[in-house]
Amino acid sequence: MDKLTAGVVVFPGSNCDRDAYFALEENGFKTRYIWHDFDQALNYDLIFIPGGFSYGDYLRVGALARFSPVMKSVEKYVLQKRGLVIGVCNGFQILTEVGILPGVLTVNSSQRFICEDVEIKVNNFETPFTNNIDKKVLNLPIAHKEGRYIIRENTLEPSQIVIKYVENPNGSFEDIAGIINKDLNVFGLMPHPERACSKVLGNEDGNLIFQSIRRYLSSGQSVKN
Amino acid sequence: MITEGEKIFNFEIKVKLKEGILDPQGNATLKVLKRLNFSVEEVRFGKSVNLKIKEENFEKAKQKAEQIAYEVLSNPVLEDYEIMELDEE
Repeated sequence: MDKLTAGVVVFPGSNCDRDAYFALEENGFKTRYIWHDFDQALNYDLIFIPGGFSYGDYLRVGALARFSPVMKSVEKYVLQKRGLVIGVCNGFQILTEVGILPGVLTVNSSQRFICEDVEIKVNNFETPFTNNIDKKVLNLPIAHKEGRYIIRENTLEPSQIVIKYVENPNGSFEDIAGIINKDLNVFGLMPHPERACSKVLGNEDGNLIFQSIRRYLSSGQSVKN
Repeated sequence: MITEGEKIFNFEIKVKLKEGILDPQGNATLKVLKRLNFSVEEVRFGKSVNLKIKEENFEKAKQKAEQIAYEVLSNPVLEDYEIMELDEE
């Protein structure tokens, strides 16, 4: 079988793009960077929208990145279900600003930047991003100041809440750490799985997410969609 | 360059958090103000954006300002905006 391919979108200000590249390569994806000006159809099995400070986080987090040409292609990619999209941290913020995922992320209730390892409960194991996770609680790093998830008139189905914080660090609604869209092809989360993917880093829990994605993309059997 | 028939119109757009949405920045400031014995009950932060828009007439310029405020400057999930016309300089 051909190697699975992944594209990492790079905005001016992205700073987790290399971590994402490293993690994807470690997990057997043939990985390429996609510059934010790229406006052609995206032909990858997986699109990774990394963390960082796209456009300096000016205006609102993720707000300006939304207007990058590549995001139009990402929207099409999602609508046509060409593959999976994962947005981490600033990537999650961008996906909510675009409207691919519902809700929005804003300043932590503590008004502080939080950088620590937190425990995450998996709430739904039947998604393309979690089907291969073999434990209930994962340990993943978070690093953000704007991670408080808010949604107006809760339109989320319980199964869309894929991961929750064990101890809510930022004041997110319903302890939400990550959600999936109704079509189950877009996953947004604040914790950084790509920073927990190697023995050297002392934490490999992030790999469980990448392995799930691999498993889904190579077989698609484990997920009812 | 301003061509014939076009003018510059000035707007100020105020973006603020909706009622009921926690404003941590406001709360932190409120605590300090209270500690200083000011009889303040609430502090809410917002931001103000000034726009100079070049258009044929005021109505068109206002429409543009409205569009910019709605589509770009605010996120309807958590923010409201208000548009004010500023006097021409």
